[in-house]
Amino acid sequence: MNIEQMVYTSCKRGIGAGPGFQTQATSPGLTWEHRFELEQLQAYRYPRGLPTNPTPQDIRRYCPPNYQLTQFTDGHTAVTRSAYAGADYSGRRGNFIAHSLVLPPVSDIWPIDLSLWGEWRETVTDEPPQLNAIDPSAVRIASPSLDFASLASFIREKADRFERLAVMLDALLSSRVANRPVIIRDSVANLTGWLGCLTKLLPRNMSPCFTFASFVNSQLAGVDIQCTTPDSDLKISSEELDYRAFAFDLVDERFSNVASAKDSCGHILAGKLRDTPDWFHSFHHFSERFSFEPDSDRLQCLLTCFALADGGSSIPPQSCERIPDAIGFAGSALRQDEDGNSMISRLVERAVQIAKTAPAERLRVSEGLRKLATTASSPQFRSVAVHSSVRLIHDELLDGGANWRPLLSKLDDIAREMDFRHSELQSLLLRSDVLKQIAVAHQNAPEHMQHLLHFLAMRAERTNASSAGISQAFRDALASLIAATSHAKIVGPLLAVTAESGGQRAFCELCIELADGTSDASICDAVGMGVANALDHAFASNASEVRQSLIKQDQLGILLLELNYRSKNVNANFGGFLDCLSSLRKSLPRRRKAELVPVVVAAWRNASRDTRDGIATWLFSHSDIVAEIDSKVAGEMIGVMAAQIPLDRFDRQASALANTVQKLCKVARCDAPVQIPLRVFLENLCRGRTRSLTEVHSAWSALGPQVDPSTGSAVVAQSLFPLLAMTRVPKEHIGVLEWACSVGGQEGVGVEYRRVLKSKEFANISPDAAGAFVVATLAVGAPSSALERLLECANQELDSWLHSLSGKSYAELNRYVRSYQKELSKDKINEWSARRTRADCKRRSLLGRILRFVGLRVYLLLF
Amino acid sequence: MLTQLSCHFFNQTCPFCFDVFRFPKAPFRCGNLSCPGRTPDPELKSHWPMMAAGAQGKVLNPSASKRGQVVCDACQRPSKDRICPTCHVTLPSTFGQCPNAIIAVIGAKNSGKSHYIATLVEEIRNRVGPMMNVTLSPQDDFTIQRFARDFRDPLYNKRRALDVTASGVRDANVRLPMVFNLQFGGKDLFGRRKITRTITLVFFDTAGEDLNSEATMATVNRYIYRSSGIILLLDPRQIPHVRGLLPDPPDPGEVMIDTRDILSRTAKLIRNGRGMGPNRMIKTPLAVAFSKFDELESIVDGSLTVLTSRSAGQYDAAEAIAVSDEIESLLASWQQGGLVHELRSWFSTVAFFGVSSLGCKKNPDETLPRLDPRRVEDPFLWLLYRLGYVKAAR
Repeated sequence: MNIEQMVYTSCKRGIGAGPGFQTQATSPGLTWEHRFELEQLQAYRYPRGLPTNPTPQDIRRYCPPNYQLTQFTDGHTAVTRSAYAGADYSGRRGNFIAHSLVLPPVSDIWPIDLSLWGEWRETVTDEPPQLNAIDPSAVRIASPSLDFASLASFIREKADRFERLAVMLDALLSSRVANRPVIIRDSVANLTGWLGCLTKLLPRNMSPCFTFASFVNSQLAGVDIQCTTPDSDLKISSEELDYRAFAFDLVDERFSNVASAKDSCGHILAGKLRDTPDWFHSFHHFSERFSFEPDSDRLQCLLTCFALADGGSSIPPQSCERIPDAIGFAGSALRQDEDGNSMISRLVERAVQIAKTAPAERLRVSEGLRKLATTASSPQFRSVAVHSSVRLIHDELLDGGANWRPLLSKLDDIAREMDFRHSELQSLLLRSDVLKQIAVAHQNAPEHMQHLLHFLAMRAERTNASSAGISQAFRDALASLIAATSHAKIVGPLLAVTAESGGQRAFCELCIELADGTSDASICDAVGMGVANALDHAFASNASEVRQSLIKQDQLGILLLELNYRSKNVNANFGGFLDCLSSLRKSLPRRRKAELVPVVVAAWRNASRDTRDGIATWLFSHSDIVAEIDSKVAGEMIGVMAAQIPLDRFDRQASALANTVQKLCKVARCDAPVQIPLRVFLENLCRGRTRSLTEVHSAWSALGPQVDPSTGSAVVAQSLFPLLAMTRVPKEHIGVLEWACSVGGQEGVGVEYRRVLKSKEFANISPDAAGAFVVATLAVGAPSSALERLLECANQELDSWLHSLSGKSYAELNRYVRSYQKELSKDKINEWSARRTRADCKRRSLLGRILRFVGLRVYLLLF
Repeated sequence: MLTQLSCHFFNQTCPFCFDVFRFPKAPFRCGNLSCPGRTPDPELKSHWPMMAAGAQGKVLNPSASKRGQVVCDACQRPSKDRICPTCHVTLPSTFGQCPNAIIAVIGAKNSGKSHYIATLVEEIRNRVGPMMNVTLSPQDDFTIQRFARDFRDPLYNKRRALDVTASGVRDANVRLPMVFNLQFGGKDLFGRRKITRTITLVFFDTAGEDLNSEATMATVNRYIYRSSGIILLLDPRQIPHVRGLLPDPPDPGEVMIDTRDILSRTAKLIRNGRGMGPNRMIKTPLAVAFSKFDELESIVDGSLTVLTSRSAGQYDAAEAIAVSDEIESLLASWQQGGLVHELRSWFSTVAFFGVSSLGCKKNPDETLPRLDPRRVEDPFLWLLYRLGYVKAAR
């Protein structure tokens, strides 16, 4: 396309309706729309400081020509040179001549270079000039001063120009978002340099491009870069500086605040210009493939794309962060032709290579591919996105596959965006050669293998979501996988994956398929492990249903394999073991119940102490198993079972358990554990079958037990009161306490003794036992031994115990104590008298009676 | 008070875009430059792009106004600045508090419109105002700057002729009005000085070429049909008969523009804009002023009122009628009876004046030997008289 021309000025004759400002002439090809838009351009206003009769030097100083770049609504651009023209045809000043060149949309001419064009019309003629369209190649541009080398030397000329240019570029890139044009105030000689840098460092194909005016006398609307001179009427106020514009007053050194980081686009481009000006040739050549709106983010994306495409140089870290945006940007901004297709392939290939060496970047790259598929309208671009995503997933699986799920999610998004058929995606993803390669790489890494299987299962599920079982695609992929690796290593992950993604039915089917006719021990172990893991995790909420399903299908062997696996790891998941054991116990036919015995024994042998307690508890209700076990192991089991039976004589269940244990002992032909005769001893004692302490002593001696502290405490708790109630003399009382301390330990006896003393039953013991207690208590001196400390505690409880005695017991007690007057010291007798008197007064007082009455009622109510 | 009350019930006209609106419905604009709610204003940009550079203050809903101000919800600062609901230009501060009078100055290319406005304003401010106890002051920054830069400084300070006015199509500043406040002083019952009346005066200067086509007039000069009074400037030297009489006719470059064409387009624009039928006369007062009248002294009778007397301290209606009759008779003698007939047949209120903005002829280099404006205030005072803002001397 040719360059069209137009001249606008104040003249006698032109294209307008009459004399005055009007379009004087146009080239024949100029459209009416372009002419209309060019006529709307702001008039050239000369500075008011221009002398009344200006010399040519004055005009050069005050009225530099304004080269203004405008962009039309249809994408064309125009460069207009407006210049002061002195007086018009009528002799009045203020005339100007505006000569416009309308450039084609795609042009290799930099607009700012046209400021050096030698054919601009500078004078107004009476007759309209003859204007013709110009061939772009014929536009003679003598631009030695505006090539990148000269611009670089302009920037290097002063130390601060680099920083100024970087900030100007950043300000320009954010000017449209901030609605603040860039205003530069400098000498006429420098303005061209600034304009050249600002316009030639940025890609040419940005649309809409940044418009500029090389000289304005007042602020213009809609022009991005406005230059002015010190002699112009445009004064940069503080409002302009802070709010309305990004102003760079290089004459008075006043600048707007612009956010410009050291790694911003402005700094990158300015740095390239300063250091390697030739870099811009390749950069602009590269950027010609793109068309985009000018802003900082997009330019950063373009720079990242350029870095990606320039495979020889390493990608800086900050560019890696922008890879997703850059790929998405490339998809939307690249021209859709063959060159664009090859470029997008090259960019994506480079990104995938980066992701291959840096797995952490894969998600970013996949996000970029998703953006590419979303933004690109070209089917070729989208196809690149799909194939590259598949490669990313395969690479991820090959490296372990921790992030394959988000990658697959991204791929699904891409496929959905493209209406990609599942079968096509399937054939790309489940390529058997790739899967074999991955499987071989991870055959010794179950977790990675599980990732691979998960991937296969999920892919299969998505392929045919309506089918309940495992789809054919999954089976095919699995076949290739099994062929690539040994069977046993894949069973566990396979079952886990099927359980998670295939559902209950598929899981059961696979279990049956795997276990059917297999005699290989390693496979059996793997199946057991797989089933156990699946039931613990995937089917945690409905494990019993799955077991019932297998039982209904007569697949008890699978459950036995599971039980075997669980028996080896019984400490890790005892609940699971018990569930499985119980299910099998219920379901196994009588003739096969014996198969459980070795499993239970194995579990017993592997079990820790706590686990054995659990097994023993379970065995109480399944005692028939014990009968079939070896007597040595059975003895251990019975011992643990007996230890669990409480000695509480009121616990009927404990009695039943004790009976069970006794029977088991007979069946297993082993000695009864110590807990059983202890129970008999306590039973006799508590039920009054043992009537004297002598009998008790002989019975205890016959037992000769070596009870552990916990059992001893239980024995003391059960036997202390009846033994104390049997005492007749203080010596017996003390003897009982000594025995209790030896059996149950001093601390436990102290607590128990205090409990007994406070109990209601102890208030009703026989007078002899009460007297023995009182005399033993009174006789104690300064506590030196544990026993004396016990009696000292009893001494403290004596007053309250006396208060709770009945009247009859009180009198008999008094007589008993008097009978021991000789054995007690005088002080003790006096002490007893004082206590008795005090207790008597208290007992006889109205308040005391009321309290005793109320206490009795409360006791009755509560118990 | 009555004016303030009436603005709530009667439609007001925006002096910028000339759309009609009810004043209470005019939104506010936050004037805080550091307000975080500042955004580009697309309405303002579409109407007045040169005023819409950068972000603008937030537009605030007038329904939340209390005592004539609204608190900005972004910066919590009160704002009293009203904007036009259509074009979003900030309205003059006195808008809605006093009557508006839009004065359109029209005429052919080189008829002296810019010079007339410049000298009219300066004459009122410096000579007529003190005599009539009237004060004319610019209303906003734009008016101050533009009047100083484009009118007063070149003419009064540099003593040179004004530059050619750029087309309103090319220069949006030309389309913007210059808003002035005209205050009438007086005394109350106790003899104390007071302001008796204030009028918002809106002047439009237009490029002659913008009146050359109907389409351009309809887009650039819409203000004409909304104007309260029209001053039509005619350069008598462009009348062929006069050119023949003049000893020093104007430069041949100044091509004769048929003023009757402009008049015809103006009448049509007013009729269309106001929706008037073809049988109705236009009631907008039209002051037809012959500019550069000093150059006709050699070809007219020296005893004419228009040449001899000057305005006194008050508006003299009898003198205005006498001047009008004299000019009308001159037109008849210059074979322009048709023009008068057309004017009287389209406009119900017409008067003729002779004015001289510069009072002398320009030097070849566009400088002025002296500046002696003559009777430039006559058309303006006559319009104010017809609009009821000033009274005639008894």
